[in-house]
Amino acid sequence: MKKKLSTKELILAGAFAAIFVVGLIAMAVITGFTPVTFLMVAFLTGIVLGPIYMLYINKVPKRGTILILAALCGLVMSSTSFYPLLFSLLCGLAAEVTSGLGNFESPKHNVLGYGFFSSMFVGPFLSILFAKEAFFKSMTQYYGEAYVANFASLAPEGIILGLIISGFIGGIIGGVLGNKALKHHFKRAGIV
Amino acid sequence: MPAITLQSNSVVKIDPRTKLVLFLLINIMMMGNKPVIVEVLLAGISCLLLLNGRLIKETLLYGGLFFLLLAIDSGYGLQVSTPIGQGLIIASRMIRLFLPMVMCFTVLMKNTTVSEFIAAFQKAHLPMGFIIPFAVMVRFVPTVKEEYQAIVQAMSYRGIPMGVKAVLFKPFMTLEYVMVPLLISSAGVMDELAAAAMTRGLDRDSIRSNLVDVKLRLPDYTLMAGVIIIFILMKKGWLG
Repeated sequence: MKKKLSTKELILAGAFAAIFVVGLIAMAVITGFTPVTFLMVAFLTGIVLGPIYMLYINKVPKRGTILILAALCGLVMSSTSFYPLLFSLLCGLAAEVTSGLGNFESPKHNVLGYGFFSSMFVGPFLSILFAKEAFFKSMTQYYGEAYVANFASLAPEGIILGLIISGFIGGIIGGVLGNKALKHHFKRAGIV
Repeated sequence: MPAITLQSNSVVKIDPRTKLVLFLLINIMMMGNKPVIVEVLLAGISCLLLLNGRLIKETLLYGGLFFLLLAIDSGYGLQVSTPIGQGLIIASRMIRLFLPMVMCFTVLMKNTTVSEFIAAFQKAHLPMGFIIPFAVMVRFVPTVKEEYQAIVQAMSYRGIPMGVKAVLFKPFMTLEYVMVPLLISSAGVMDELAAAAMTRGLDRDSIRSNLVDVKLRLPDYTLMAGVIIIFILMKKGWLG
């Protein structure tokens, strides 16, 4: 393996995290309007952020980069509890290991790794598992009874697994798109 | 404005660590289940922080919007029964929920220099592997916004619409048209930023000295204590 990250790469990590976070927040706001799309947030975010992730991993193909990104995204998502942060680190670790098996250069490994990474966009929903009452209570305050009743009927506890899988699939699609964009645009522009 | 700003231009100097703690606590409280009084208190504190940073325009905009929405909600919130009215109320509550956070975030971004961040975190003995990405992230979010606006403008010059319709009917095309230029131009900015950091000696292993003096002073302790007290009172349920 190569040596540890240089300052330049740390700066790149921070900058990409900024783009990631902007995308994440934009997606959460857009999908939050109806319960159905809100449940698909992990899937859609996975697709949209795929190209950014792929560019990032190809620009800094080293150990530790994914974990930094995961930690920063996790920090942003864990506004109500620490579960999202832990979950993000877990997903980041899984992505790290998967991409590491391909030496961070194999497109296939990276796509699979992004699948794991993108599962972490489920983070905000984790409180359904651990603190259901409080979660719905705080939602009622903002969305009103009807929205929450609708949401609750759509989302029994077991749905978390489904959401994680949807995030994974979204990640795979986003990853494939990202690789395409990489080949088609970024390599040609000479920024990788 | 001077060419290089090392220290932010505030009335009372507030340590970046205090701003960060306040931001996190306000985040946690706003996202949770809380009474209206807490909301008002938190929005008030955020307004004070903005004013302290001489961000008058932002104070008026965000603070005014917050209290306007609050007034509308408490005045009409319960009487509205039509679906559209309820939708609007929900939207106004969503916006209100995010306003104090936006205010604190503005303080973090516009009223804190990167030098201050790095100095404060170094004092807190955090590893460089965390400090640099975090400071860059905070510095970079406004850049992303600017780049995005420039791209949308360029697209409209060429007659490519960017709006709800485009996103709904041609999602992948719109995504490509926005994402690719955004990433390419951001990559250029990143390289420049990295070069600037090298000249400031950020990649040295030795301990850096810093022109900025950061210290936790009385206002810092007062602010933190105030918000923590609100937090505890709210958890105990003594605020109604």
